[in-house]
Amino acid sequence: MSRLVNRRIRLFLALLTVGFAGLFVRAAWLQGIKAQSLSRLGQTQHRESVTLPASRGTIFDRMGVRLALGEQATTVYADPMQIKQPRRVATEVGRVLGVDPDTLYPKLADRSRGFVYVARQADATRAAQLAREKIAGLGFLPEERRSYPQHSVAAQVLGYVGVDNNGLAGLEFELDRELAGKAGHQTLVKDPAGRVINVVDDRPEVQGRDVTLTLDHTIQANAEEVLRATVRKWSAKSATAIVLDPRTGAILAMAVEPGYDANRYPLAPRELQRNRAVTDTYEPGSTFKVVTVAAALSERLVSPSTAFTLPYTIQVADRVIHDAEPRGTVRYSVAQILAHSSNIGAITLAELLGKDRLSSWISRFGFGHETGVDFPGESPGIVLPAGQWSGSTIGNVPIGQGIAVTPVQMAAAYAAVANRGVWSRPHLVDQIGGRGRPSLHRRRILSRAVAASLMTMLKDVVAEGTGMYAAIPGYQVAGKTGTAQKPDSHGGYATNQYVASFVGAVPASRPRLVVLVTVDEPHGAIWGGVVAAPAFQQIASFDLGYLEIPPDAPTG
Amino acid sequence: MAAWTAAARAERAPAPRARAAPRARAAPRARAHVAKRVQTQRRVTGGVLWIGILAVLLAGVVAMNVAVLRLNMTLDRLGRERANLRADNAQLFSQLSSAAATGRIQAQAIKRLGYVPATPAQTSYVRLGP
Repeated sequence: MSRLVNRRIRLFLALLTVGFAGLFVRAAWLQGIKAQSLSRLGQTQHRESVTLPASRGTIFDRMGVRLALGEQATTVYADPMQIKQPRRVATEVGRVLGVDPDTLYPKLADRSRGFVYVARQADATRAAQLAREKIAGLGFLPEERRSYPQHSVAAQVLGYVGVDNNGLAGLEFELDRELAGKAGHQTLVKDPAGRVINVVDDRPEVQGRDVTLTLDHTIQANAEEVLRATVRKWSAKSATAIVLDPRTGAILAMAVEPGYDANRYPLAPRELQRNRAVTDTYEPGSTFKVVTVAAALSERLVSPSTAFTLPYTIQVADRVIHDAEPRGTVRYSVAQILAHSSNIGAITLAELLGKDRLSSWISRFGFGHETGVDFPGESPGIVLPAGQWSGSTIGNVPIGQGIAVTPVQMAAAYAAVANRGVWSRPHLVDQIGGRGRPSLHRRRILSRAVAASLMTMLKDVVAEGTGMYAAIPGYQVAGKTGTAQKPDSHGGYATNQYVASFVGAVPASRPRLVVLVTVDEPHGAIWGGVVAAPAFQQIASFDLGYLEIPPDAPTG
Repeated sequence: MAAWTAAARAERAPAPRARAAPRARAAPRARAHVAKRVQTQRRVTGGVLWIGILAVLLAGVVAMNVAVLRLNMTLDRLGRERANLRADNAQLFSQLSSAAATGRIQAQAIKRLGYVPATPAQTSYVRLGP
């Protein structure tokens, strides 16, 4: 009996041994020989590489109001090979997302492709609604969509980004490297239910840096509204306004009308998307006379009270130039030349200077060079070198014709006069990532005495001269009007196309703001004093009240 | 009173059984047996103890891995929640910025409250210091 039991026990043990040996061999086979291929298979089944997109930095105005930020959106894509009823799916997607089903259907029906976009950066709520329907073949990817909550405010300055969130124009393009950040990467291990159970490789994303501008959205919006009304009133082609702080060169507003909604930039015509204040040039007309007068004063050829006998016309080479308003021969001081915007007086001063000195002063004021403003595509303007001046150039340039400047150049030049002769580089960006920009470029272009004399003369322009519609009750305003013919395509000047402009500093006793307004092709009136000066007055009045700048006009 | 007879007196007493030696050999054997049993018992106890310790360690390893897996799942869930909250924040910031738009506020002030912007002539300033 015991022998039988022993035999059975031995048999059982033998069977167990064989069984375990088999398991051992199987384990060795799986973990040794098949290890690599099984590991690769497992990884493809359970591992997923995910790109962690970096959020694009927010653009703030100087008051901390968001002008551009990223919003959650969802990109919907499809695998046409998995879509069994493309017509039905196209109709349903069209109903939920607002996509045209007829445009979508051919993409969904194309079985040769494994991936098609259904809607890029669609509304997240609607996409979630579509996801709940669990339509086979549709996939959903979270993406960030750039949003401009103030719509048309500073649209040309901010620019826009493409569908992949890369800057394409304006400050979005100029500051793309700072705003974009760097995408991260993760390798996830998921269980069969799709839940993440491990993170194998993790490189976190680097969020884009926020940017704070010098723009003030309130001043900007007001300037745009005033320009809209001005363009409407004078049936003008366009208008531009710049408001800057002459002490620092900080740009508080840079408005261009007509504008467009920055959220709908693909639908906006290209010509509306340009920031004309920086990229476009115009012949400045009489606003340029401040350069001629400044040069003559600085070279000590004249003083503000030096008087000249000025006929109504003057011959310069083969041209006869006259003043804007018919008059007899007058005797004007230098201050009166500026106040009454006498072309003859300015040309007389220019002839005293000579082309070389005048050309040198034009360059000193920054014309013919980029200001270096932090905006892409800046034009340096068009300034003939002195060596290329013809005999009649000395009759054009001193009165602001035969020379092309950008609005930002002109505003910076007047800001230098207002800032006691110190030119500051105009700029739009105040901080990046919480850090202030490095100290800005400044240079002295005029002596304090000459700058003070110019400011006094410019006050007379508003008080007694062509700029009376720029006057602001309670404040001293210093400024200059400009009315310039536009060049035609034949090398001459159009007879009925003008640019009206006004640029001024306020309060004149201690300037806090320089405001420039240009109006392109006004109809009904062409004069800077009539078309642009009132716009200046409205913009400056609002800004003075908004910034709580007290009046400086003498009382009594 | 003696009960034995003289004949019996003449028989030599039987040789004493050699018990002392077997008794001496039997005592160490018993002790060794006991010692062996104790040793075996100790081994068994020690083995059980080790098995118990190993079982606890293994259970601990399993529990720790399960905890790590749960934490990873929680992390993933929290990561998605954070992304959703950021998205909600961005949406709210966008609404806030739109609401703060000057044009809208001005229009509302005029339409609902009848306010008009003050002109510089209507604004007076009070100098508080020297």
